[in-house]
Amino acid sequence: MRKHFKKLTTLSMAAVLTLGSMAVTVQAEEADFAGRTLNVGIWGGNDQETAALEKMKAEFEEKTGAEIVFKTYTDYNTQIQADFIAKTAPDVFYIDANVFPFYSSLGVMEPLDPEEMEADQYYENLLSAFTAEDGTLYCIPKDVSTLATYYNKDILDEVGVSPDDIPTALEDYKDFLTDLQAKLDEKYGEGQVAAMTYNPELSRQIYILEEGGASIIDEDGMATLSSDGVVKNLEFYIDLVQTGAVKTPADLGLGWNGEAFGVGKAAIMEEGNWVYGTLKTDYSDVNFGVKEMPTYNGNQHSMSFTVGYGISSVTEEKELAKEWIKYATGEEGMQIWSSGAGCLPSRAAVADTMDILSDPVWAVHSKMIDVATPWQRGTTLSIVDSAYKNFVPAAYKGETGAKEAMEQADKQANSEIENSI
Amino acid sequence: MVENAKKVKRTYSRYEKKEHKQGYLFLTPAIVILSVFIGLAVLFVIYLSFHKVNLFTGQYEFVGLKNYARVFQDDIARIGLKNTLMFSAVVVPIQTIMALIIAAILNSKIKGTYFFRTVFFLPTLTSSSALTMIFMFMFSVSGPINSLLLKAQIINQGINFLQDPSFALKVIMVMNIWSTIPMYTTMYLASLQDLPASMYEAADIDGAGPIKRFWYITIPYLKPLTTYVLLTSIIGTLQMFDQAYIFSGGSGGPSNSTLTVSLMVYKYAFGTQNAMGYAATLALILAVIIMVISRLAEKANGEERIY
Repeated sequence: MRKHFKKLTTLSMAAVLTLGSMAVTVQAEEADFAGRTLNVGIWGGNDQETAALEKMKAEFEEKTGAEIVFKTYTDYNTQIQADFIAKTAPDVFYIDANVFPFYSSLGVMEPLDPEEMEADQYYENLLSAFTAEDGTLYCIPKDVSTLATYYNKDILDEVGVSPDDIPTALEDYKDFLTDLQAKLDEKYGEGQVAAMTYNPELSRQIYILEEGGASIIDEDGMATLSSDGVVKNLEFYIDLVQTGAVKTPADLGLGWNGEAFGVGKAAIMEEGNWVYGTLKTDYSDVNFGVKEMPTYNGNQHSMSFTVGYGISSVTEEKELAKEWIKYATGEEGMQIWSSGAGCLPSRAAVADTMDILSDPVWAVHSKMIDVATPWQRGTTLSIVDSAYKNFVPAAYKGETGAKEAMEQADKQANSEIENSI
Repeated sequence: MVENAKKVKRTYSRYEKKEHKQGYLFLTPAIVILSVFIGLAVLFVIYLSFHKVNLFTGQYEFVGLKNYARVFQDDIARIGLKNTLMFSAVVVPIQTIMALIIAAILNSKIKGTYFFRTVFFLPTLTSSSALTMIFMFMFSVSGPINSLLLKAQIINQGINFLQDPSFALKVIMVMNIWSTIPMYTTMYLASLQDLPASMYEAADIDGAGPIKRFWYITIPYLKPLTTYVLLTSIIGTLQMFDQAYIFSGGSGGPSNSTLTVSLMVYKYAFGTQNAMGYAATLALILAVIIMVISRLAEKANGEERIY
């Protein structure tokens, strides 16, 4: 499907480029943005992200003569809600796909014209993540990240396991990881290095839980974590965890997978492409490889996380805001952003120009876009996720059964949902 | 007769009336600020609690007592309240007693009093979110507490204090006690400086030992201050939010063991459900509970007060 898409884009590329550059010059003559100010709401990132944003800002300011002011949120969802209510939100802001259904239902964002924003240039599943139920487009995806399997070559090598031995099916992980854990224990001492790390949260496990037609949330937005299909899938993963070979970063006393992997406490992890930069800069001595996500039940899955730019419905700088989005998610801006911040471009054409396939790590992450489940599921997702995180650890530890834990989670989530209706 | 005399309405002279006017004039700024930022806010919360609210679109739908009825059927709210009361019941007495004892010791003529006072006061100066991070590190599986216990061979496998529902709230209790004792110690110390030495001397002559002196002089002398300490720490613990929020990443987990009422209010108010009305109801009920408990504590400790 993606090949097809690529062909289409390359074909339209030339036309778009010529037309596009004409359009830009025409518009620049029409609208004069000199001396105007645009507020852009973002959340803080690492140094590389900040540097990329600053570069984009400088280029955009030079091009248009407008001034860009970044408003950095530290607790994004709390703070921007207050800004929306007070009608003081920035002119244009980040929206994470997982909270998009909530914000799009509130009418705080300006509808976007798909044609004007060149919507056909973006990956389709990312665009649909920013399209409301009634078909209105509200945000343009600025980037995408996917999960892939990372392995520590040196650790595997030390215990005589080849990266090729890592199974392609999750069903084969149990035997493989048990064997690997035994070898690791022998080499490094009991419990010193985990064969693999995992995160007991929906953003990492939803595709496993929903495999085979199961669903964690029904059409009304109520939690159905304790439905048979979900529990069956959860039991499969619990079985894997109870081998003792799969641990959470917290079990290892560390903050996240990337840290556990970076300090050599885990041999394998499933992590997003943001970890690539971390591994290169903070843990440059780790010799790692990346491969595709395993299949489960014969289907390959991954997760995709995407963030888009939306325009405030009360902004007075609508045109300038659109201009910023066109620039930041256009070819030039996206290239600066993606290469700087370490995300995958959300435009196939930019992926081609950046030649990301030449980098084996990027190539794998890019390939995962097609099989990835977008991290988004209606307005009640955060409540269901919070209830899941609350009760699932007991099930993984074997203190309660999977069914029982999920029933408790359902009860909590649904009472929270009902209390707010 | 005397009773009746009290009820006779006093007439004020013109000068007195002028003085009253002046008094009110001086009070005006404070009254205006308080009534806008506290009075109106409280009234708005009460208003919110009877409505289903969507602040984004400005829709207020009157729902009567529905929010209140829900609170009493809400099992999760009961868990939150239980955690909150438990937290308060453990932290407040320990805090107060420890602060009193430490203050009495620091007030005695041991060497290096100033040094100890400074060191003891340090935790209060640190922000509570920073303290939470430090405690989370100390109690993590590979942290110092676990390695100490392992070395002493009290346990043979690291305890995951942060993820274990039976430990999580207790860790927060320890942290809270540790970080607030110095504050109250300092208050007690300040008050003890004023305690006339002659009282101790007299007791000494009467043959009272240090424990008796502490019990019969220090404690009664500090009673008004104790009322104040009790009240502030009851209110503080019942409103506990930041530590539970950081500790559980905002979820109140594991298995709701760190869910407090304030955290619930926050979750409903700033989640993705537009449940500001229900959040307001929970906040009001918490306020009533705090008022009742504070009043009881005040009564139990006698009516003496210094505020």
